[in-house]
Amino acid sequence: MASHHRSSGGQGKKKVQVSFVIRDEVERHHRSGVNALQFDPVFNRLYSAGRDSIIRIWNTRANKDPYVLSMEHHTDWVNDIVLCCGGRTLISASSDTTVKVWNAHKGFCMSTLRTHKDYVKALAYAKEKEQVASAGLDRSIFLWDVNTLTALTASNNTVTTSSLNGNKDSIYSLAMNPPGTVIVSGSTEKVLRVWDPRTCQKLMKLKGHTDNVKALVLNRDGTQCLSGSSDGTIRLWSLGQQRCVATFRVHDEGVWALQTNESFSIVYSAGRDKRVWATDVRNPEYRALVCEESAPILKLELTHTDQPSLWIATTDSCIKCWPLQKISTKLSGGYDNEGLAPMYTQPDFTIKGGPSIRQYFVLNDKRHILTKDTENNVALWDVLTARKMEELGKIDFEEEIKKRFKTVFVPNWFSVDLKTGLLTIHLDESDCFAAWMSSRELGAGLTPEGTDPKLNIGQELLQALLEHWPKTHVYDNQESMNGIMEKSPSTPLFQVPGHTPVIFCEIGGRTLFRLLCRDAAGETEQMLLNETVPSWVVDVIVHRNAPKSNKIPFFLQPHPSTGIKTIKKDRLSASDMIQVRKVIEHVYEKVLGQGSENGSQTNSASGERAEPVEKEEPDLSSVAAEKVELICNEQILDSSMDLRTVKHFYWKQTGDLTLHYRPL
Amino acid sequence: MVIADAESPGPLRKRPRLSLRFPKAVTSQKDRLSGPGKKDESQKETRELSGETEEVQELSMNDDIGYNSEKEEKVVPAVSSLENLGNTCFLNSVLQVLRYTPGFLDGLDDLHGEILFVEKWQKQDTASKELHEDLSYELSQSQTCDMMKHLHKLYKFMDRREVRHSEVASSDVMSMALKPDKILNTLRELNPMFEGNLQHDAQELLRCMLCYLQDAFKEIKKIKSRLPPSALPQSKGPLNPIMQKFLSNGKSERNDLKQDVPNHVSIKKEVQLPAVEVAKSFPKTDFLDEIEKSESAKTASSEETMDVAEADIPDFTVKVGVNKDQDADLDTDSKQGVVKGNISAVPKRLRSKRTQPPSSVKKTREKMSEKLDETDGDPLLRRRKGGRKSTEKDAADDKSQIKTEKDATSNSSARCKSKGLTNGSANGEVKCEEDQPDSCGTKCSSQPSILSMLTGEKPCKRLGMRGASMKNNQNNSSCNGPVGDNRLEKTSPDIHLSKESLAKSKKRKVLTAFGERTQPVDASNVTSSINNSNSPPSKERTKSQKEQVNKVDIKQEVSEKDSSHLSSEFQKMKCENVANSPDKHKRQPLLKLEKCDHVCDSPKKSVNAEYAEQTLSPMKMSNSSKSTVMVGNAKHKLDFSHDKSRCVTTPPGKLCVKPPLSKVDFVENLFMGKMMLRTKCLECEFSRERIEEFHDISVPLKKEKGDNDDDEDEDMDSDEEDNSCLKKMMDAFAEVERLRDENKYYCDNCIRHVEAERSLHYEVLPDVLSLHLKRFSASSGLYGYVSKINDHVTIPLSLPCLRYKCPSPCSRPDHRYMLYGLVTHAGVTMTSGHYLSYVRVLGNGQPKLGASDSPSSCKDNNLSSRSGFFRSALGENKRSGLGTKYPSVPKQMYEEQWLECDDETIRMYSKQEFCNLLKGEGGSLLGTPYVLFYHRVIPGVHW
Repeated sequence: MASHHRSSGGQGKKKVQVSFVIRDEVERHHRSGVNALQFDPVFNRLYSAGRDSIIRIWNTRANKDPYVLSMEHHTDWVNDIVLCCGGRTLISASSDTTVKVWNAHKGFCMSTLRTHKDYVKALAYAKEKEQVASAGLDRSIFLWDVNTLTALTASNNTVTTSSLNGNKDSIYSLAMNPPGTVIVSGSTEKVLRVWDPRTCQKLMKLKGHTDNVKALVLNRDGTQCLSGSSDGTIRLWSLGQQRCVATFRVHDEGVWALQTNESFSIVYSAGRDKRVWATDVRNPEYRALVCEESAPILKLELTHTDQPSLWIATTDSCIKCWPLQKISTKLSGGYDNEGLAPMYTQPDFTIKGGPSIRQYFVLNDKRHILTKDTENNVALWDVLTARKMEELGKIDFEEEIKKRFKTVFVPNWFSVDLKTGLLTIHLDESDCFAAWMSSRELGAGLTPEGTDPKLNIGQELLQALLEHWPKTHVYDNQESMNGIMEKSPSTPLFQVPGHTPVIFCEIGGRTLFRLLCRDAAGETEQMLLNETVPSWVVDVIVHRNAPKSNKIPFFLQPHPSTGIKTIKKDRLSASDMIQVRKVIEHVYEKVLGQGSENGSQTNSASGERAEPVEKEEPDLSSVAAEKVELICNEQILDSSMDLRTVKHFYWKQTGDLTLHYRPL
Repeated sequence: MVIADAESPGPLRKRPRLSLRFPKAVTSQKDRLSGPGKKDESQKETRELSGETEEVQELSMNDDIGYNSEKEEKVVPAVSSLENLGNTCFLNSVLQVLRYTPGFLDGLDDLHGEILFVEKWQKQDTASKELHEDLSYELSQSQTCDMMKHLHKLYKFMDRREVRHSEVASSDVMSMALKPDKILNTLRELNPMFEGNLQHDAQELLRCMLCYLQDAFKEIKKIKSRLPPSALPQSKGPLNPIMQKFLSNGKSERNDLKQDVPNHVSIKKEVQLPAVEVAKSFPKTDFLDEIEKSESAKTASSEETMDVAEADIPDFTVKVGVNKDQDADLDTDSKQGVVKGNISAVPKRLRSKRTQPPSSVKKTREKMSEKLDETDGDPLLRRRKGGRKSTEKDAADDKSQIKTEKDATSNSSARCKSKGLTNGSANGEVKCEEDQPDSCGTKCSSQPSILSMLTGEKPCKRLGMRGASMKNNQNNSSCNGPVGDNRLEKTSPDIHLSKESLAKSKKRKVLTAFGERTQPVDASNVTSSINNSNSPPSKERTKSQKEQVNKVDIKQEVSEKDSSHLSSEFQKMKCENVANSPDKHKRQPLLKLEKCDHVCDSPKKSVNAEYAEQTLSPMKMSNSSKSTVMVGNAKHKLDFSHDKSRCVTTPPGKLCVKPPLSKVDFVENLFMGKMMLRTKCLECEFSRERIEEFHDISVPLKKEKGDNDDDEDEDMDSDEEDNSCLKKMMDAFAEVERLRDENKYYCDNCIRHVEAERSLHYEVLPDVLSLHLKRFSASSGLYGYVSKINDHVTIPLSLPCLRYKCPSPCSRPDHRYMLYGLVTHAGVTMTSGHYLSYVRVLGNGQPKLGASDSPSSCKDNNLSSRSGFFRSALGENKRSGLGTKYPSVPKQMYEEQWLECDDETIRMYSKQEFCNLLKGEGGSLLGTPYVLFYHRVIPGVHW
């Protein structure tokens, strides 16, 4: 389960975690809300920035299947996009703290700007200067020259930016006028701050809102500004007079999106209350309810191709286009918002979205996850293979969880994240190697020798994820030459789909590198991997240092009913993966004197280092199982259960596990 | 323990001041002494005493500088102090502050009464002994109860010592000192932390003490709930319960607020319900509002309205207060003025009711006002004249104010005659009765119905319980007054009800319902009756009247029986009063209505009113003409909801609404507030709210450094000035905290970490607000020790409104808080140093104001009434006996002065002097302020 607060990052280098997303190869639909929209009138393409981290391109002329392309490189919500250079370049801002420059036509990422230290929430574009500004929760604003950005190459990758300082709080909105003479930011400070981007000089501060400012629009010459705030109001500001000249109270809740027409005479506004209003800026009593959406509205995009229409993005994954042609005539007076019927009840066009996963439950085996999405579909996923196992349809989630309960205890070794509406699994140094499974359980079958070695799941998974990274092979070969490892694990027990995105990021912070599993062999990818793969991963999958197995201390005593007097109370220790069967053998052999030595120690190591004794295991154990039974908390234990499960389900106490044996 | 340096300069400087003050007290005391002999003997006597000396005292109070005879300067002030038993100043300081906490002694009394009751029952009930041995065992085992008892005893002793201070006090500081040893011992048993002679944190102690008191309450409650029904008073028949209570109460007047519901089978009790209810729950907010409104809405004569308000609002407490203060002299003008005020109010109502046809309330109001004018002229005379005419007959006939006055006076005179006592107390009581009936009546009318409607059984029960307890209190403590009230209330509502107005009918019905049924009325019944009530008033009226009579009789019996326990004389008087009372009371409800009107009409609707209306609407009362009753109901509902759902988000209006006492222990009542933690996701803007209770507010002294990088922002609002101000700190404390950067908030809605705002709001503020200045912080020290922040903090004498929903300059006086005590700490660490406390002797408002106001200037009466009201709001019914409510002697002698309680040593400061000390001008407090105690402002009393 996700922790509710991020642990405060340590000083200096943060720990790096490895994450991957379980998803289809092509995700044709937004899986979550859509944060931003841009329309390219030349190609009639709509760009949408999804909370699922994917920017998608839609052909608005294709009614059947508008999907054109996905632009995937972000690893978190894409919060804003702007289309520049006449539609050739797209710039995006994301909660992964990066700003990315895309070739909009071909849909690949040209460069990544990592100057921000926190979520990048807003972009602003000065069309006539080809300047883009980015701002975010780190309170800073950076000004970018788009032409410079697009000229970046791998070798020439230094950008000089100017930054605008002075914000005291997280910035949620940003606007620049087309000539690039004025830039305005809206933040939780509740004030608008205004700069001159040419000189980076502070111009003014506008006070009036009583809550966060989430939407801003400037008119062309930068003399007027409209702001939408979480306080539910829209304010019109005169930058010349440095004051608020009008306040429109058309919304019941926070105003999250604003658009104006070219002449800055009509403002379209929307927000948390799901309603879209068109208001005459000069005569605010003239206004109309354009439509009512089914979810809080995140973005409006006004287009004028044939007729004016309004694209609306919400926290739902659908994008809708609403007609606007009659808006001018429909504006009417009256301040009573209640009971007003919207002008339109049906959108012209809907780009369908997909369901997003809202709930998950990690099953006991700590391998399978049950999820439930916004359409109430329940699905079963396998973390190890990074695949969806089964679609269970619209069934009772809780019931299914109960149904799939198993008496198995496996410690947590990964965490799950649903912020993108897809399953994201995080592997973290602290617990990644906590869980072990026998290879039989993993479905790998027995080794040639017929043993059933214990495998560390975290290790195996990491190996699978980085399977294509040549480094893993290099070391493997070396070591096998040295004869240290007899096995050749270059072929993992299982594979993850090649399209699986693998992400290296600082815990709770910035993304360092994202690649697809199958691309790890690429030249640049190799290089970047060498830089970013954290040492704790390298240690295990490159150097092949087996993670330490967990030891579990326990006491072994005769059951009171046997009448055997306890001679001494031995504190034994064994791998927590050891099965009850083994303990029984131990009892049979050592304690009850069937063996030659009286050992107070069970076989100490994890099962992998098979002792000679265990070779005869089948016989011995079957014999032993007939002669001895183990009891914990007055319950007879199944011989195939491992000790950690016993401890978790039967012992249920703190303090060392105590097992009783009873000869039969 | 005392830190030498801190100690030495203080007393030397201050003693001289003492001399200024002290003589008066002494002289007055002497005068008293010359009067009847022993004070302790009976409450009466002491009252008389004080009464006689009253004049002198007041004189002395009025001009502070007048009296100073240096000779007596060595005598310690007549205030009980506490001995230091070895680093127990932390205990002493807290005990002293608690003693001066308004309403605290009251609550303690109640609780003590409970304990005694339970214990007594256990002793008495020998038959079932085996059965309940476990219970007694429990109780005797209960250390928290022991603590409670010790505490009670200590305060009692302190009172007694103060009463006898003229005998006891000498130049030796120990002469007035008592040893809180038992408390200390119990404390140590309860919490080993306090063992040894180390210094402890006073704040921690305070918390512990309050917890123990609450535990004691819970224990009692638990035990009581397990008492077999036979143990409960009711089972023994209608009259017995009361008797029992009295018995059980013994000296402590009040019995069981918390008795279990079913107890009060007797008609009487039921009847009483309304009054009690009113007294307890109503006064705080609603009445306040009303008063304010009434004031704002200018009626014909402001005075009259004032009077009315007075009468209504203050309930018992006001009157009681009057009694107390005036105890001795009836003749003082001031008192008379007060009396007049009350009386005049009554007559109006009476008259108005009678004369008034079903016409509009307004009309009646006007009439009333006229009458008031007339009556105001010389109420005294009339009163005096009045014989025992007040009977039911009179009541029925009553057309003129004079008659009413007569009634009023008759009561008093009657008493006087019968007893042969011409005490002020009698008069005072008489007044009280009159007043009370009014108030009760009014209240009753609106309240009971509402309550019953709203909550079905529960309210009834509660009311019943309360009623019982109230009665007891009243009977015991203040002699007659209260008893009369209850009955009056009962009766009056009935009669009133008979009148056509919806409100009345409703009330009546409820009342009748009560009367007829011994068991709690179902909500449905009540409501139905209400519905019916619109049409048929006449029958019911007659019925009710009959019932009334019956009730009255019963009451009389009861009261008589009761009286056996107490001083019989007074009891008799009560009976008489009771008899008389019904008449008067009939008229009273009108008053209520008027006020309600005010509420409705006045442009300045108070928050409460608005809320009330809002809350009302859901109820969908069929009748809902915008009648006053409705408003009343709404209010009640308010109270109610508050009561019931303490954890539900309470609308702002409720802030001042306090739940009735019975179910809640007094500590909770006094000290507990609620704060709401709201976390708002900045992404989806969804807010999560959590309500938390608090007993005190810990105020960080140093604001954590914000991450506002200080790039010289030209318009950094000039926050610089006075960052040390307490208010600022509290603001900072309640400031919006932003969860961001590394500390983002996980929003379930967004399924991710987002920025969020966390804010803290005071949802319900307690009557007594204690602020704990976080002077001891582990972080501030270099060495990891807990070190002390000695920074100066500007402590305002009054706190502005802390409620976030109020407009920033909140004009409501009852949203403000006044400083009445503080505990200071001198020294460097928590485990060393010295604690002492400063307390303000709360004047009980009424007497002083009464004295200072010329009788004619009734405008100011509302002040006094309010202050009185305030007290009632705090749930204390003052009685005139030894000061359980407040430390008696200091209150009278040192009212509005500040006492420095430094273990054994008590020093006096005038307000001005104290302010200077606070500011650090011309000397300073001993030690740094550590725990501050504020109480809700008494509206109209200015500092």
